[in-house]
Amino acid sequence: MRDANERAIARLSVAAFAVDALVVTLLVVVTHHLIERNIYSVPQWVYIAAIPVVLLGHFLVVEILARGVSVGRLCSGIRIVEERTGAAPGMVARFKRCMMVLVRGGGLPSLNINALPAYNKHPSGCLHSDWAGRVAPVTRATNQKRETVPELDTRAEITPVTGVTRGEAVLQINSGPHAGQTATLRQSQRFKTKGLYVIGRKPGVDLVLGKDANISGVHCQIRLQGDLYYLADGAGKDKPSTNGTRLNDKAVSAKSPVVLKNGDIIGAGSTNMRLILI
Amino acid sequence: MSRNRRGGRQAGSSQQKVRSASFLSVLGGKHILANMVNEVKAHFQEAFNKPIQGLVSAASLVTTGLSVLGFSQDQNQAYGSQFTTGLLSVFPARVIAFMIIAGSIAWTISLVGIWLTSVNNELRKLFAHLVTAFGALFMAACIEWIFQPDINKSPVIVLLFSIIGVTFGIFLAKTNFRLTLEPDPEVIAVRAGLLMNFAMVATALVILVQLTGLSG
Repeated sequence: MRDANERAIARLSVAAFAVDALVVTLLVVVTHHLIERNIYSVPQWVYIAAIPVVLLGHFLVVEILARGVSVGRLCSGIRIVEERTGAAPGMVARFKRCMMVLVRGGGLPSLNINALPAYNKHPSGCLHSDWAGRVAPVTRATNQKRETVPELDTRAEITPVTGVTRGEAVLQINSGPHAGQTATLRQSQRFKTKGLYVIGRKPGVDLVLGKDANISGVHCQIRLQGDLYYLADGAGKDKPSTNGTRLNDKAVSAKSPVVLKNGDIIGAGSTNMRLILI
Repeated sequence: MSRNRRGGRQAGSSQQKVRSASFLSVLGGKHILANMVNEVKAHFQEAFNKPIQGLVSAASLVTTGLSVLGFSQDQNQAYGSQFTTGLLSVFPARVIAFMIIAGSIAWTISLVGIWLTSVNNELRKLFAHLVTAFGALFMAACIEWIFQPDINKSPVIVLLFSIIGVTFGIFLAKTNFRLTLEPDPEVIAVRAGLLMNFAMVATALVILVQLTGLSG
């Protein structure tokens, strides 16, 4: 069963689709009047049949060429963003997603584009999550981080360092309101599945530093790529944190992640954490 | 539970009064009525908390009320609509009048919607949907009412202003609902459902009218 957010976004998508249907009907009716008056009479059923055809064309134009922006979506406050990064998907990705929507569901599942990741389980494996756009509510700048946080995962529990096994990465908090606590990256479900570990103040991130007032909702991320751990500021490339992230007292940007080494000190707000690779 | 800023779920003291009241007094409706009045009062006090928002809310309520009155009076009169005479006989004035009325309807719907969806109750949700559907119907009727002099010249005008009205209405209602700021996802889902209902009813009605016009 989809959660309330999914339902809300699906309903907003239907509202947007209804407005777009109105726009399409206007186009058809205007064309009808122009043809009727200036050229010749055409059977009425042609125009009635033209509405779904033009609606399909409108859908293709909106999804592929207009970056998913339509009159309905603008007024409903929804837009398509890349599922993982939160950025707008590229032209090819939009085309693939749109084609897949049409092939798999005759266009109707596009009303809830969030359902798309389920199609990725198709045995053909031709779709990947990165291709599929995701509809997310448009938010104000202050709420942007909150909305672009990946799906809620189980939070890493604070455990003593002695409990970890070989090959794990541990964050040991040395200063700040959470000093003395330790977190193991692999205890996070998100880290296990996506290799991503999110640190911030908002409930739902992997390491919640709620007592530190200088921490953003999503402050920084640690990503495992190959054998290397990368640290990046903020919730994504375009969403740096308010107070910035430091690595060994040097600022880390959101756009260019830096490689982490054993013993590195990560600074976020008034909290300093030591990364221990065991 | 505590009351949130825009009317999340709550268990107010007035509801506790009902629980402690005797069966007969509850049956008599005294406390129910008092609770309802208190709730409406609290809701509108919250809605009118900010000066600009309060002004807009008051203006929208008054305008919606006046437009309902004007609409019903015009329907009863044999000699035509008030939009054919005076200042409103000019097309741009009619457009402005329509935008004001459409905005007021949408804002009023959202005000009532916030109130009705602030408590998790199926009957209230049903009422919210009914009010929204009625608002959409009334907006569609207003287009015919206001643009009657223009419809004979160009039937497309109904469709064009339907789009403008619905788009403007959804935008305003969404703004007043503050979906992105509402903490409870269930409330967001219900209010998004109201927006969907509004758009679908208006769209279905307008397309039906257009198709009837085309085939007729």
